[in-house]
Parts: sequence; C-alpha cells; structure tokens
Amino acid sequence: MGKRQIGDMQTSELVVTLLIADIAAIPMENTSKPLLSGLVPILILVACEIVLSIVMLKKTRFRRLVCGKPIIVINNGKICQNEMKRLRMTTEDLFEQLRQNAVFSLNDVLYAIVETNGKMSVMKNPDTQPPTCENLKLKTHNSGIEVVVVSDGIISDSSCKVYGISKKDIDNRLKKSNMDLKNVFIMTVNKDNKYKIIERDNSKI
Amino acid sequence: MKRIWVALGIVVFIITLYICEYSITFSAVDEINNFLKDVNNGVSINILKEESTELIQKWDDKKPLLDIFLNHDEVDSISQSIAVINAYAESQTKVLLYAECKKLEEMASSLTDPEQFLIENIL
Repeated sequence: MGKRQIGDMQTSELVVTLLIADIAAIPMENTSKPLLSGLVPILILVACEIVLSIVMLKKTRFRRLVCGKPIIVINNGKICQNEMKRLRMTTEDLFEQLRQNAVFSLNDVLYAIVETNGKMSVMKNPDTQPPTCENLKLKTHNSGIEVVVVSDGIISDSSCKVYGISKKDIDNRLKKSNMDLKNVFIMTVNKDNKYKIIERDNSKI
Repeated sequence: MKRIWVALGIVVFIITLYICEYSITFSAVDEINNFLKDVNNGVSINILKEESTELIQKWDDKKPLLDIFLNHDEVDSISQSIAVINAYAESQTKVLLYAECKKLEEMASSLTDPEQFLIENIL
C-alpha cells in the first residue's frame, strides 16, 4: 500500500487494512489464543494483497473489475446526471468536491472526473482562468526550490549537496550576517545562491 | 518481482507452519489414542496407572510446543483430563476412569478434526 493514506486507498486495500487491524486484536484480547492464530491470517492477507496488487498492475481488466474505472460527472461543462445517480452522488457532494478543488462556480469547470479512490479531479475551463506567463509571452526566472541547509543550528549535509554548498560557504555567510550557527533557526538557499536566515527566538514562553 | 518473492516467502512460511502444527498435534494426539485403545481393550488398571503416568510425562513434554499452535484452554483441559484419569487409575475407580476416557477421546478428536485438510474445514 506504500505511503498512501486511507483516503487514497482502493476499496480492496481498505478492506484488507481493516481486516488486519481486526485480526491483530484477537490474540491481544483473548490471551488463551496463541499469537500464531492472529499472525497467520495477517500474513495470508498480506500475501493476498501483494498478489492482488501485482495482478492489478499487469492486468487492466482485472484492475477495472476490482477498482472500477473513473467516471466523468461533468463533461465539457455539462453535468452528467445519470452518472451522478449511478454514483449516488448528490448535488451537495458534487459542489463540496468542486470547492475542495478550489472551484466555486460551475462555469469554471470543463471536466470533473470521480477517480476510483473516490476523489474528484477537475479540469478548469481555460476561458475563465487567469492568463499565464506563457499566454502573455512573459519570460520567467526559475530560481529552483529553496532547501533548508541549517535547521535548529544543525547543518543538513543532504540539503547542502542539492546545490553543492560546503560548510565553509555556510560559515562565511553566517559571518557576513554576524551570526553564530547555534543561533540559526532556519537557513535556506536557492539555485541563485540567495540565502535566507531566520534567527532562533530565545525568549521563554 | 521482489514483491512476488515476498508473497511466495509468506506462503512457504505458512505452509511450513501448517506442517509443523499438523505433525506436532497429531503425534501428541496419537499418544492419547494409543492409551485410549488400551483402555478399550480392557487392559488391567495397574498397567493403565503406569501408562497414564507415562502419558502425563509425554503430554507435558509436548505442551509448550502445542501452546504455540493451539488454543491454550483446549490444551489445558486435556492436561487436566489426563491428570484426572491418572488419579482414577491410582484410586482404582474404573467406572469414573472410563467416563473420563470418553471425555478425553472427544477432546482429543476436537484438537485434530479442525486441522485436517478437508473441504468442510476449509468452508
């Protein structure tokens, strides 16, 4: 199941998770039962889940059978009422999910698709969207992501490697700002070698 | 591919556990059945006294292993029943000994019956 949360799980995965939690409690609450009576069914479920996920990965038809397929509820700006009925989705549900996708007017939606995990994906209407730099033919500057090189007075070696910064560079930058490494709460750097330092707040609560 | 091997490993582990459980349970129950066979064949109570003492010893040796696989309550009730049979044999109380043997027979079969690879057990 990887790092997915409950909301991201497929129905079969959620069922297996609930079953595992339920079975794990059996030997805990009944001390006369051996630990294996809980362990064996859990292992069987894990094995079944692994096999199921592999089969789903390889066989599209099987995946569709188990997980279903995404359903379009707004097609080219038009609400598909039959599909909503099939999903037992009320208008409140539809608008709630649209609001969660930062859409507050139906005119802003071109397509809305209910994914197999129950979440809604929305493609906004480009006519009602603000223009992008590409539309305006403006050149933008990419300053890369900001990485935290010092956190709570500790230098992060892995973050320093991102932009090839050495400890000496950090020391020099701190000397320029008349600061001590111990007093740094957060220090970030971006692709343009622009540093941002936030001093530690030593005041007591 | 790695996940397939993990799943296969789990399956092999479970099959190994099942074989271990099957052989340990059946060997322990076989000892009881041999004793019960002697009881049914009308062996003298003095021999039964010796055999029941021996059975207690054998059962106690296998009990820690049985506790890993079987419900502790079931294993304990069989231990108690064997001890009662031994006490009846020592006090020469034949009728009560036979009654307790019937009870033990039922308990022993309740240990092995669910372990058998039968369609009714699977369903």
